[in-house]
This record gives sequence, C-alpha cells and structure tokens, in this order.
Amino acid sequence: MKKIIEAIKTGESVGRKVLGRSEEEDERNVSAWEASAGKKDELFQKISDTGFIQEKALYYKNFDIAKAWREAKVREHTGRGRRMAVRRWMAWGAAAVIVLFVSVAMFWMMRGEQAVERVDVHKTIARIVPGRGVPVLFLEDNTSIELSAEVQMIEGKQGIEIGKKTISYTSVRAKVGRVYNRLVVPKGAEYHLVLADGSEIWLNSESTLRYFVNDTDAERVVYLQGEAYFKIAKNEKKPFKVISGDHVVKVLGTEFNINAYAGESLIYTTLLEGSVDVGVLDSPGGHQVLSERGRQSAYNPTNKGISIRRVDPRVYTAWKDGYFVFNYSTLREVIHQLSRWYDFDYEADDSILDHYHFSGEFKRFDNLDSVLEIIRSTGIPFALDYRDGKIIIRRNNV
Amino acid sequence: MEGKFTDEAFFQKLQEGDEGKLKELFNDFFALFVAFARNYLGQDDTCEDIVQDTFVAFWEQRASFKNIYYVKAFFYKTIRHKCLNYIRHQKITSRHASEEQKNDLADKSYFIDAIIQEEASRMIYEEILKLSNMGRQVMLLALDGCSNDEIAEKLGISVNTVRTHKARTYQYLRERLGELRILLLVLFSTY
Repeated sequence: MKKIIEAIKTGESVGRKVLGRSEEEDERNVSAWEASAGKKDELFQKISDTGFIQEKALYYKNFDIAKAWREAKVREHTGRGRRMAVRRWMAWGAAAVIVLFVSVAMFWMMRGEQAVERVDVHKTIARIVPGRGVPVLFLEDNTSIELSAEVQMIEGKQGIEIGKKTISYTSVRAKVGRVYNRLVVPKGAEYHLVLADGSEIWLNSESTLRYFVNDTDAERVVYLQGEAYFKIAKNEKKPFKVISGDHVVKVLGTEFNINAYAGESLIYTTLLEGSVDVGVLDSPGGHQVLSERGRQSAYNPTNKGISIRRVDPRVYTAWKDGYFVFNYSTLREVIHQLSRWYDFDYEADDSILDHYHFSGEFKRFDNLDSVLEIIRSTGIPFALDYRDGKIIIRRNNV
Repeated sequence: MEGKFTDEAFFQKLQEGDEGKLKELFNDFFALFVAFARNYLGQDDTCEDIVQDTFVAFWEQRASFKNIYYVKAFFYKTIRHKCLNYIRHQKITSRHASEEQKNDLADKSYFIDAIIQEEASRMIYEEILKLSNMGRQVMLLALDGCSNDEIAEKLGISVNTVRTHKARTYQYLRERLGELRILLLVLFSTY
C-alpha cells in the first residue's frame, strides 16, 4: 500500500513539475523517485511530450462520464439507488402504457406523407455503395491511365501488369535511373500494388502513393499521403522508406500501417510484424523504434513530437481485409471513416459526434443504410435525413 | 491531491454512504482509472467494466479507508489485479502475444510507472482546462483536429487571434517541458 501511495504522490509532483508549479515537497518526491532504481528518464520524457499530452487531453475531453455514471453498477448498492430501482420499474410501466397509446395514434397519423419521406431517405442512403471511385495511375511522363478495366496494356511498357484491383511491377526493365509512378486512389475505392522489389502495398480510399518503378537505387523510397498498409520484402542492404511530409518510416522488411491523411492533426504508424523506425526529416535525434506488434506511434507535425502507445492492431488494419473494426471510437471517427469509403458528405451536430462511442465491426461492402442502422441500434440517439446531396445526422431526443 | 477530496467532512460523508459524494468521486476518477486500466488491456471495453466493478468493491469496503490516498491505492491495486486476471483467463493472446510481454505487464515497476504516468497526465489535462476561456476553447478545438480557419469561424475570432492563442499555449507548455528536461540533465549528470 505504501509503495502505491508514494507512486500517486510522485505522479502528482511530476505533473506539477511539468507545469512549473512544483513546491518543495514535489521537488523532494521527484528527487526521491529519480534516485530509486530503474530508468526514469524515458517515462519523464513520455509524460512531458506534447504529443502525448494532446492524446491524453483528447481522451479526457471525449470521455462520456455521464454515460458511465448512468450505467454505474455501484448505484445499485447505494440507499438511493435501491429506492430508485423500484420507482424506475413503476415509471417504466406507466411509460409503456403511454408509448403504446401514442404509437397506435402515430401509426394512423403517419401513414400519410411523412412515413413515405422516411422510406425515401433510407432508399437514397441505401443507394450509396462503395467502389464507385476509379483509381488513376500517372506514369513518369505524367500521362494518366484510369484503372477501370479488368486487364490493360500500356504500349511500350513491359513489366507492368494492370488490373482493376491490382497493379504489379516486375524488374525486367533494366533501365537505370530514378523513375517514379504515382497512384491516386479516390474516395470510395481501394487498390493493391506490387512493387519491383516484391513489396506489397494496399492503398486505402483518398490516398496517393508515389513510388519507384525500378529497384535500382541504393534506397527504396515511396511517398504517401493518406492511408496504406505495407508488407515490405526483406532486403537488409536496402532500407525501405515511407515519407509523408517530414514524417519518415524506415524499415528493412516488415508489416505495418501508416495513416497520414492531409488535414488530420496526427500521423499514425501501427506495427504488425518486425520493427520500424519512425523519425522526422532533418531531425536525426527525434526518432523512435517500434518493435512489438500492436505498438503505434502518433506523430504531431506541428511540434514534431512522436508518442507511442499500445493499441489493438486490428482496429487500424482491418480495412485491408475488407472490414471496419471500431473499438470505443468516437462517432466522429466512425462517420469520418465511413464517409471516405462510401464517399458521402455529411452534416452533424458536434454534440452527438463527440459524445458517443461505438465498438463493433462490419464488412466494408455492407450497404451504408444497414451499417448506420447497426450503429444506431447500440443506443446512439440520432435521426437521419438526406438533403442537398448530404446525409444529415441529428440528435434524436426521444 | 487537491481540493475537496482531502477534506475530512467530505470523506466522512462518503464513508457514511452519501450518494452525492460518491458521484463526485466517480465523476473525477472514473476516466482516470479507465486510462490506467488501458495500460494493461489497451483500448478494450473490458477496462470500463473492470473499473465499474471496482467501484462496487470500493463501496462495500468504504468504511475501512483512512484517507483519499488509500482509496486511490485500493483502486489501482484492484484494477491491476483484475486486468492481469483477465489477461490470464481470456484469449486475448493476439493482443499481448508473448509470455514475455505478459511478464512485463505483471512487473511491479510497470505498475508504479503506469500510476505515475496517469496521475501526472490527469493533472496536466486539468491545467489545460484552467487556461483562459478563449485559450482553452482554441486548444480543445485544435486537439480535435480543426484547422485555424475552422476554429476562427467557430469562435467568431480572427485567424490571427487563433494563431496567437496557440503559439502562447504551446510556448507555455514548451517552456515548462524545457525546464523539466534541463532539470533531468542536471539530476543525471550529478548523480
């Protein structure tokens, strides 16, 4: 018990110190902690890292404490809670009678126009299906090719095999020199790529990758904007680098996922296998190594901070196998991901996006209407509407 | 620990079974304990279940604690125990693959570090909430990934004002962090 209490007090002192509000006792606590066994500088650095602070602040800000209290089991053990339980049952009984009465009345009233309108909204949303976007390949001379046919040939190019869902390069072309192609995957599409060195890359919706065509350089470098899953062929002599802005991930041979969408505040790298080195261009000191499955780094481009945490890797990589997996994700995150894949615009109240969380999984090819229905069935109170080409999500206070 | 929880009258009422006081305690500590549990189970719903159960256990023994530190210590100890048990009995092997990792998690020093980390982080977050009203709103929107333009529009201020608030806050934090790193260097070189 004493050790734990010491740790609590040390935590408080460290917090005050980070904030510059430490007093004599805090200094003593921190010094004592420093002097104790073990390496403390890593933890200290982690706690004071601005990326980590951001992550924590976001967690606390979005935590739905009111919901936790509503569901609190401990309330059944307090005096008031027990009395409440009886009253609640009586209230439910009364409510049930009223609901029955009202719904019979509503049924007769709603049979007219309004009910038809609701069906229409659902019909419209159900028509939104993924896979409508067409990826585009840009060759080194900037000619573009729409990747919509089952098999395609490019005149004068050997070693490139193009299909509707995948493209692969082979090393037959002995041309030396730096040749790059670019693949642009729009909203509502995804694409698979095999590079000349045998590495495989899955590109998610709304993502762009610029990559080498010949495996002749000393290094293997690609440039990513958006999200991609990488399965890199082992070659210890030639490191493979993925660059997004000034964020660099360096590997020798491994599997990982990078989420680096323009306009998002953080870049996430999630490790599945092997190890990767995450760093910042022109800042050789600031790199971190991920070497355990499920480790994730979050890079903050505004302050160049990299923080590391442990996650369920499935949540971040399931998209590649055709699933959406959410684990206590905010509704904002869920809708945002869906909008990218189903390619729809939406409008929603902040109060509903930030205050509800969703855990669950579904297939990426499920119909959008049923996906939204599943989310709603978990008790998130929203109503749907469709106006001016946008899905409108409103809090439904019934 | 600050404020009301160190107050004896508060503590006595809590021990007598005042639900209002329980709610205050719950509101202030629930998220903190879930954050702590995530050090063991990652982002798993089980974390919340475990903390909810621990509140029940705490309530049943509430008369036996000397002060709020003992209460918190009880929570940390119990939550850790429940998490390790869960790992042992459930098939979440994919998440924490190797035996080696399981041993790391069961390590006492991992436990102590997790407590320090969460206590300190919570305190820092509370400090952000204490920033001036506009400064806080700017920061919270920025944390949500809003661009400067979006923040300016939402708060009805100019983009330049947004930039100023951001710069000021980051500088404030950076100065504090800078002091901390320097202090560490000094501590380590003289030790």
